[in-house]
Amino acid sequence: MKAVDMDEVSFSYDGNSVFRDVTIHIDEGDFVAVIGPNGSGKTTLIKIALGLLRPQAGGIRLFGTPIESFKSWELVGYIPQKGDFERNFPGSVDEVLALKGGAIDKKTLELLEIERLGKRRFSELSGGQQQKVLIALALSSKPKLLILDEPTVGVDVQALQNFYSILKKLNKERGVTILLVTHEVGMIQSYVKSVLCVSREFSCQGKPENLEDILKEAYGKSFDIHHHKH
Amino acid sequence: MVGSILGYEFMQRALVGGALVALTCASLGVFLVLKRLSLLGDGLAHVALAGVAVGLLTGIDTVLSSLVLTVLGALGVNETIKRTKVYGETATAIVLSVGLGLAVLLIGIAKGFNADLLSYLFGSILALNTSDLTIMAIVLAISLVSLAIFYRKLVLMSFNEDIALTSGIDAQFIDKIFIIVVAMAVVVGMRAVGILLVSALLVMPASAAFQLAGSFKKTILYSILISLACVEGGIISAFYLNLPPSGAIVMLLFAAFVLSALWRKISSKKADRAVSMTRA
Repeated sequence: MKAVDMDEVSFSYDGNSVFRDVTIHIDEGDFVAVIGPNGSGKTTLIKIALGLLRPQAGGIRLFGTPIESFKSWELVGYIPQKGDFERNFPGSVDEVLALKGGAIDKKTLELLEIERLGKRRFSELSGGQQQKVLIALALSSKPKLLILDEPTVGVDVQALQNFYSILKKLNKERGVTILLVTHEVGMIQSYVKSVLCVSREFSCQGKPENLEDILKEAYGKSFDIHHHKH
Repeated sequence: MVGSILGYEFMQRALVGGALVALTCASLGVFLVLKRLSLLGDGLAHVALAGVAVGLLTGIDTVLSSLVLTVLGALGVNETIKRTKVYGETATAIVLSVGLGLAVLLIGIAKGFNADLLSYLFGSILALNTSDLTIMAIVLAISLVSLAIFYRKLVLMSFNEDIALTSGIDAQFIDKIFIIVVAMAVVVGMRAVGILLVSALLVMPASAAFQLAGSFKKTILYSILISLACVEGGIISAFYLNLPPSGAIVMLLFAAFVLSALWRKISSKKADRAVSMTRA
């Protein structure tokens, strides 16, 4: 079954077309990096897939169910962009982790290396720690699909590699389908299974091995990709 | 000292009413501040003024008329935020202006109730009657039940609305319930400290509690405790110093905010120093 199906989706905002007839299919178990130039509509695409924005045309299905009637939200874990969170949120990490009403097993906390942070105030954690707490929150409903929108902005290289390793483990060992919006093209080749490139008028999907070609198609020029070791 | 205060029935009612309003406003205020709707109380209070004017003009009970108009104003803010590209603060400012404009119009049409209006502008906690206390108790019960039912969902919505929506939460419905409860709190708060100062009861205890607490539940608890202390302290000090109670309450709330902000600053400096000493 496909985790995400978007068929001929068109979306415009204030009369400006963001997408036209975009078709995207994400298989269950895939680990997909969503890349594209700034303003290409990556976040919009994610929000449409989740039903947070309604397209003018086209159909969206999550796990085979049309988004309009989709009710199994425990199957989905979503982590929006960092700036979208309440900066002064006074809750502790334990309180944040309980927000979706699910329970998080000790193993997950250890995998994310946040087992000792429970009593700390969420707003006082480092960017990397906050992202790990958010992943744990997203995982608390035992989702089959994890969607992350630029989760590593402001995270240092070491934490970045650790973060990608965790995502890879979740995908490989727990079979979680991952859809990751990112600008870190140097990282994704080593971790993801496929790359989805979106740009206003088109989308293209391919294997990370063909990243150079995908980037050329999206940005209209060649890139020298610096690979991170892991 | 307190014994002599309690010898007066009007003071007993003021202390009970103050506690009821403090509990209601302080618990709701935490969510209001986090939702960046701190001025909503102020905006709705001005709509409540128009409601009072309608009541005085038509002979309808002023609590009822202000309750109806304030709830409508609250729903207006909610719909404006959801359906237009206007920010919450702008929607609040619009509703505030409309409420005040309507009130001025009605006051102009029906001359002669300026003296009555003054008690609504600055509160009349010393003049509360049993029916006021009953309404305050009902509004407190409604607030606490709503918060108990929707607590986790409200906290998640305050944290991030998109996560709430993609967790299957009907955020629009909960927002409506919340804003209606806030409107009710504004109307009963208006009786205590007046239209001009009611937003202080919603915003200041929560803002002080944010400085002190390390968890969400403690934030609500501290907000309630600070509010109770300041409201009761304000009423008692007003009695002995012959001051207007609403002004005394707000000044105490301000002092609580300043002290808690200072405490936060000092404790975070201490923590920073401890970290740098550990590194050295």
